[in-house]
Amino acid sequence: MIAGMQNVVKRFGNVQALDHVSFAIHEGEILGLLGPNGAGKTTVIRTLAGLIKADSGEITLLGKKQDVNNIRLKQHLGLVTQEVTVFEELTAEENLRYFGGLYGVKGDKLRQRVKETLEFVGLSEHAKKVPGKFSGGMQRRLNIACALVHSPKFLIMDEPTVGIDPQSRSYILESVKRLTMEGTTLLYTSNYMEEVQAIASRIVIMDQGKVIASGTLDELVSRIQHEETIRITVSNPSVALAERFRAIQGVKTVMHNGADYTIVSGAGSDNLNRVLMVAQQRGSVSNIVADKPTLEDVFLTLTGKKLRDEEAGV
Amino acid sequence: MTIFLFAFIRSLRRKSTLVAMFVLPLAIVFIRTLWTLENGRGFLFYGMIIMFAAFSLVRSIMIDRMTGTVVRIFAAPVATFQYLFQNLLAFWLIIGVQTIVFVVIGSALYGWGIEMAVRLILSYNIFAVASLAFSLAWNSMFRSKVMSDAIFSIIISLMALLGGIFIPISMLPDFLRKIGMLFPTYWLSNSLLFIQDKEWNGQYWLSILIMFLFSAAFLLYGSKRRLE
Repeated sequence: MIAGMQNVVKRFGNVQALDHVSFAIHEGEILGLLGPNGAGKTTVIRTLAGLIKADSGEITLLGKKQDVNNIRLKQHLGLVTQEVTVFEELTAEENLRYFGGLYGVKGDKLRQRVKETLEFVGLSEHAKKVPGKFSGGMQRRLNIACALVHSPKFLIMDEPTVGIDPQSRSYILESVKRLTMEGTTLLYTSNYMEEVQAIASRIVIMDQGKVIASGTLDELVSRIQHEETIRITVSNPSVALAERFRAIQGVKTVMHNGADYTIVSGAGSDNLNRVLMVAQQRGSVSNIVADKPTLEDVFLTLTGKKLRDEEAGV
Repeated sequence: MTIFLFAFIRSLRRKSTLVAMFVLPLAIVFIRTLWTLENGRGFLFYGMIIMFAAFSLVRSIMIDRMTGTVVRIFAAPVATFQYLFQNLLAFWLIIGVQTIVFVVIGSALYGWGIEMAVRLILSYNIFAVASLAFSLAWNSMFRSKVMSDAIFSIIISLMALLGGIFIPISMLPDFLRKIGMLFPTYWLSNSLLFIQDKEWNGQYWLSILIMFLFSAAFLLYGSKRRLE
């Protein structure tokens, strides 16, 4: 385990920000942390990073107790903040020298790391420019670079792709995958479910300061999977075919619309082959799809909320 | 000393700082009528320039707080004391160098003499520390830059008035003079009067001591507040 929380409680006045939160992050993995606004994700990040003190519980980082006073432990940690937190007056290169210097990287090693990190985020050609001249995506990449220049063992990324174009987002996600291949462990929070689904090896879902579910994507999906849905398009549709589908064991409902049929069965029915066989007996099949719940469905089922409610409402 | 070095670089790249550091002092040092020992308004005006410069320099700490950059800084192995000390030291050094250059030019133009020049540099530098500390405490109370600036402009006018910048302290009513004592500008004004009169007595040193105490109090308040 590279980092973890055990029964961590944090209150801000009457607000219980963290309510006995426990989870572990293992070496080399990407842990996706999901939760609606106010779920406690930022408080988790800030306590893990030693920025705020937990009221009770234990936080460990690299096998040692993490605390606001344990400044040396921060040496191995990198934090990519949700906002772009770089200095406007300094060039990209100077920003990296600043943050590298804070972690005690000096001289030739600092020069080398600044060069490598700028290459890693694709900003080598813009090293002498100030962030004000950058696009949103480039600023985000510089924001990430500032957290990487000291080669942290454990990197926390707090919504690193907010408000950027798809091309920059994909560049960042590729960079994240490359980082884990190079041995960096990551805690990744995002409001984009598909990002977490694509890169995280395990997922922790939080709501109202509590961890409400954790596991791999398949584990989480199996927890909420109550039904299986099969969509099939046939060449010779008929009411009789719908009746044949209905007769298959475990089928709950069959909906028929032209050449398309939607067949809903109970969880674990595994009716895909049976449906296909029945349809082929009555003619050819032009399309068949078994719908699988997504992380979005898991999240919605567990929290009763969409992850980006506020955006949907705008 | 990364924070110190870059505080220096960042400050010198900001236009407002450059105006306060170079344009304003040069604009007043060559106006001869301000620098007669009988008038002496120039000594006080320069004090106010130091106050503006200090406020402008400390602004970067407030910007770091408002933009969330301090969160990233404190995620690194950096203590609050280190961050504040290195920033304030860089700011003080900038004002300190400016003060020396300013006094050297003033001495060359108006023949102030070495002893007066040394006393001026001492007074201005102690006042610079008090101004930096006051600006730190002031900015720590606000989350909005606009609000901080708006109220500061009122406070600085009040401090200038009660500190004898616009009207000599001797002409102020007694109760206003007593209120003025609560601000470092009063004590700068006081120390400058003793310098102009070439009286190096205990009253001069008392003014220096009180400015020093103001600095300690403001620093304590400004640094105690969490920077997030």
